[in-house]
Amino acid sequence: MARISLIVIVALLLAGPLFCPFDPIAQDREAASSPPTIHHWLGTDDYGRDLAARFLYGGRWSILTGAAATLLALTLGWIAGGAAGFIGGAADAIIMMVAEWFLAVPWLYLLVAARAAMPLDLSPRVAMLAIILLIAIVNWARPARLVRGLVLTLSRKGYVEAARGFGVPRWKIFVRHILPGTAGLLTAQALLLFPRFVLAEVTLSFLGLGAGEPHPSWGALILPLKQIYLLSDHWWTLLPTLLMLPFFVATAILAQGLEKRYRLSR
Amino acid sequence: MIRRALASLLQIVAISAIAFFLFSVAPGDFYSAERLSPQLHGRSIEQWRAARGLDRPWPVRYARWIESCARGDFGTSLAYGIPVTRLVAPRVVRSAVILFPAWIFGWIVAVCTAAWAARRRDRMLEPAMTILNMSPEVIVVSVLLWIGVALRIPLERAWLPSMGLILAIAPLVFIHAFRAVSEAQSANFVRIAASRGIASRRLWIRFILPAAANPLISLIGPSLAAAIGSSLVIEAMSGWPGLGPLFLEAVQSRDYDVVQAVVVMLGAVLTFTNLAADLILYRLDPRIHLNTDGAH
Repeated sequence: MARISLIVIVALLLAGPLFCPFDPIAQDREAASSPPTIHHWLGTDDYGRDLAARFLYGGRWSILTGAAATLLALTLGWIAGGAAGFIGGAADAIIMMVAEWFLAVPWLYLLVAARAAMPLDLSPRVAMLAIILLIAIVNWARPARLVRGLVLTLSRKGYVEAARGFGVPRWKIFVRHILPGTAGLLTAQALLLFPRFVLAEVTLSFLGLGAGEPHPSWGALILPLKQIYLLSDHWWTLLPTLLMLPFFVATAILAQGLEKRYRLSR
Repeated sequence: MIRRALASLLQIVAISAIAFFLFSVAPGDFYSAERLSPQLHGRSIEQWRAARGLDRPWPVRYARWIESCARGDFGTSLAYGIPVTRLVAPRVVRSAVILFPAWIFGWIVAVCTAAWAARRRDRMLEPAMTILNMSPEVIVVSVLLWIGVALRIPLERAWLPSMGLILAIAPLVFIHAFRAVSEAQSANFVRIAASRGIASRRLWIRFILPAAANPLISLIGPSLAAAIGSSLVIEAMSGWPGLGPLFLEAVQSRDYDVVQAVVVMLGAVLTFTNLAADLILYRLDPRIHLNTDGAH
């Protein structure tokens, strides 16, 4: 159920712009601040931009950023954790110590600080790449720690010891017998991190550190809600924000189910 | 134990060095914006920078910063021209005033509900809490704002950020507490105790809750980190003049002494919270060895 709805939501956001007749940036002053109508399903904002189009385009943007960041963060964490578990000794201690440092700072603060250290007026594409990179760099530590723990657990398993007994070289044991075992953990982590990173992008855009104004993003849709008059007089500006919820809820349910299954199978 | 405390101290120093390095390699500084002003001569900006020591390489500045920190001086805000401590301290107080009560209240509510739900073997609350836990703060706070506007509740009070924080903390703690209590409930020694006719109250106080305590104690640090992270967004959203808005403002105007102080302070708070949680665990559970291989 959650799986189907997540697939539908993501498909809708990825393909949605194809069906949407409005340009998310085009301003129609005639129809500014209009409540939902037959044409503008979610109404328009103060500049006369169609909110449904901004929701769809913005969602595609936020979700792609989140997905890419998840992929990159997991890859970094996988490499660091795998290396720490495989090499062991001093390398292990150093990698895990650095991971500990990254875990000790609230990551949103770190992310905001790091993003702010870059110029604010980047083109949307460059900003997207920068955000993906930063999210991954700030968040590699937790998956790295989990992967390392799992590698250490797996290398004490019977079949690994058996392989070792047969004289299989160490790297081969690692590649053939230990790495495949981390797949389940990585999938569960991916589902857990994906919504969180989408949210990180949304939050950065909300704080004005995202892709920058005319560009649609979910964070840019939430930003105007800080102005109270919008909530009291233009109630429909809250609609896009509420429509974001199903995505987060569906990923949460899915991640929980996967985690449960993963815990049972171990 | 001393080694563990030293490791924490090293961690704080490392965080400060990383933060310092990050801001030093970043292009531009506080005076970048003033360079655009036609009234200012390039040379006077250079003089200002030299007066603040901003033209030195970063290791030199870092050494100076560490030295001044040791004297209790955490730098001077370039934007306000007053010592960072005087700028940050009132903001920290304003943030703490809502953060800690909300954090503690969230914990109490979450643990009580979790114990109650686990006792009744209620399976409905957990999915609901998961959904709430995954609902982004920005969305939760916008809905709260909307409710406040609709019901004409004054918005400048502390209720909005407090509610937002409680809604951010309680579900997280609930999920872990529910899991821990449920597991403890079905542990063998609890079942044996129950079958020997130990009264329900005693069973809960002496057997189930202590068994569920370990994972919860290690959650203290992460939950505080989550609360601090959420407070950044929640304060920005609800206009609460705490640490979050100051941090954002400093970040955008490149007032790095302030940013640096905030990052290091938060890192220190969390490091010590984690240390405290570890020490409590160590006291409570003799099976745990400090500093073995970091695999908790």
